[in-house]
Amino acid sequence: MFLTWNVSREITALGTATSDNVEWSLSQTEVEYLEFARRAHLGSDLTELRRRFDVFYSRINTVSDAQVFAVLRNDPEFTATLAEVEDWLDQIVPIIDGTDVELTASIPTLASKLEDIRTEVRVLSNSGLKLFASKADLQRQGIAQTMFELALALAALISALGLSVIYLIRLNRQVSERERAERQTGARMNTVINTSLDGVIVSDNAGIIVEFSPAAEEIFKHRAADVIGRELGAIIVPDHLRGAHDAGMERMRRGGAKHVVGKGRVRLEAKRSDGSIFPVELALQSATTDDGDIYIAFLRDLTQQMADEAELVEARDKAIAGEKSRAEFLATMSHEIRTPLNGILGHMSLLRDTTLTGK
Amino acid sequence: MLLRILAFLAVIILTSSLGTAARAEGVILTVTIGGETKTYDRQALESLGLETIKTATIWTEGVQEFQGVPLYLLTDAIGTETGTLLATAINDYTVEIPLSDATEGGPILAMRMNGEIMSLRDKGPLWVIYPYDQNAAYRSEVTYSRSIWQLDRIEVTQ
Repeated sequence: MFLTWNVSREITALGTATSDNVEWSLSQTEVEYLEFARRAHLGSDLTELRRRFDVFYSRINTVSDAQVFAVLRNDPEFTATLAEVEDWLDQIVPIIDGTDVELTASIPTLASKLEDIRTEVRVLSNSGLKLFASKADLQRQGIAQTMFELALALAALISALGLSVIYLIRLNRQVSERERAERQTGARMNTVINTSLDGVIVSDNAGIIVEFSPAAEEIFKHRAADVIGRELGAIIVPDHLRGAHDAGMERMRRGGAKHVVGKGRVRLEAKRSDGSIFPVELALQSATTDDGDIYIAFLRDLTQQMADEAELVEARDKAIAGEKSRAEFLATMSHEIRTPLNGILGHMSLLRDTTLTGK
Repeated sequence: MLLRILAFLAVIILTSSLGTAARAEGVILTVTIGGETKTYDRQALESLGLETIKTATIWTEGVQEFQGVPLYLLTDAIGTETGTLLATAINDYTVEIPLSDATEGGPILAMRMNGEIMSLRDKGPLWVIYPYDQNAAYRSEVTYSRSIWQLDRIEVTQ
């Protein structure tokens, strides 16, 4: 943050120059002085002499007023020298502004007076060099420092970026591993469902079929593609149980008691595609997913089992009936045979116990 | 007839008196283009149109008010559309000012600072002033070097 501000400040400082070519401007002071001095020594062209004085005067004025020289004016030696030159100018102004005759008369004085400030003007001209050189040095150091900090920050930024990239790669790997695991689980689940002998039907909270296993297709004679997305009740629930089914779904949606879900195996009746009713054994479970509750039904067609059971009962009943008639037959027979046998037995015992007479 | 002579005399007197007034102030700008020379006194320059720029400069302390002729009005008056302006000061300091600088919102040839006519001792008679405060692009070494003071000659070169 601080660095950003620093950099932008440096850039602004470089972008807008606050100084003219200061050293050059200062050295011009001496040039203008020498030009004025040359005119004074020639002493012929008064207009040009006055003009050169004005240019020199203006130059000194600039040095004492201009904002670019403010730094220099902080230096007491510079200010003292400048004040001497300004005093000198104030002495000369009346001579220059006087009449032509007076000026011509004053030229020798002027020439000697010019020598008085030669050194001072020279000092002014050169004073900028040292100061501005050290200032430039400071500025250069400042920029170098900022650039160095910028490089450090950049290095930190790049390493942070690198770390983020590594972290992202790891995260990506984790996610793809999890995805693969999920895909495998899904495939396994699908295999389980598809090979299950029991029909598996999955519906969402609204009773809309979302899965219909091959075994369920076989049991209900529906094709999965035809029934997925349709309402469960209309497909497999017999008409006379529709009312109870719809009421049960409605109750569960409102969070009420679940009468069938999670209650183990329940025998119910179901409807095939041709409308025929047949008995089923049903196990129903619910699961919570991101899309809300889903219901998973495992269904087994009991038609064959029920038929087998009926047959068995019939066979048993028949056996029992046969047994019973045989017992009855034996009882009747033993009773019915006993009477004639008793007669015969009596005769036989008479024959044994008595001797036969001649009669 | 007499009336016409009188009128004629009046015109002569009037123009000559105007002429002396102008001469008293003198020519403050000489423009050279293709060997031809045009001169402008203060009045002639002012008649081109004046504009005021309030800006600080690096050669003064604080914000100053400069009044003068926009450079583009002068180049329009000269009728030049291409080339470079060679601006020269009384001390023969010369800078090149590209004609592309002569735009609206660009530099003016300042004649007055804070309402006062600028004398030679105050960087007069003409000082090229850009609106430094209004446009950061003008706060550059190049523009500062073009801000010539004590200007008295402009030469248009192709």
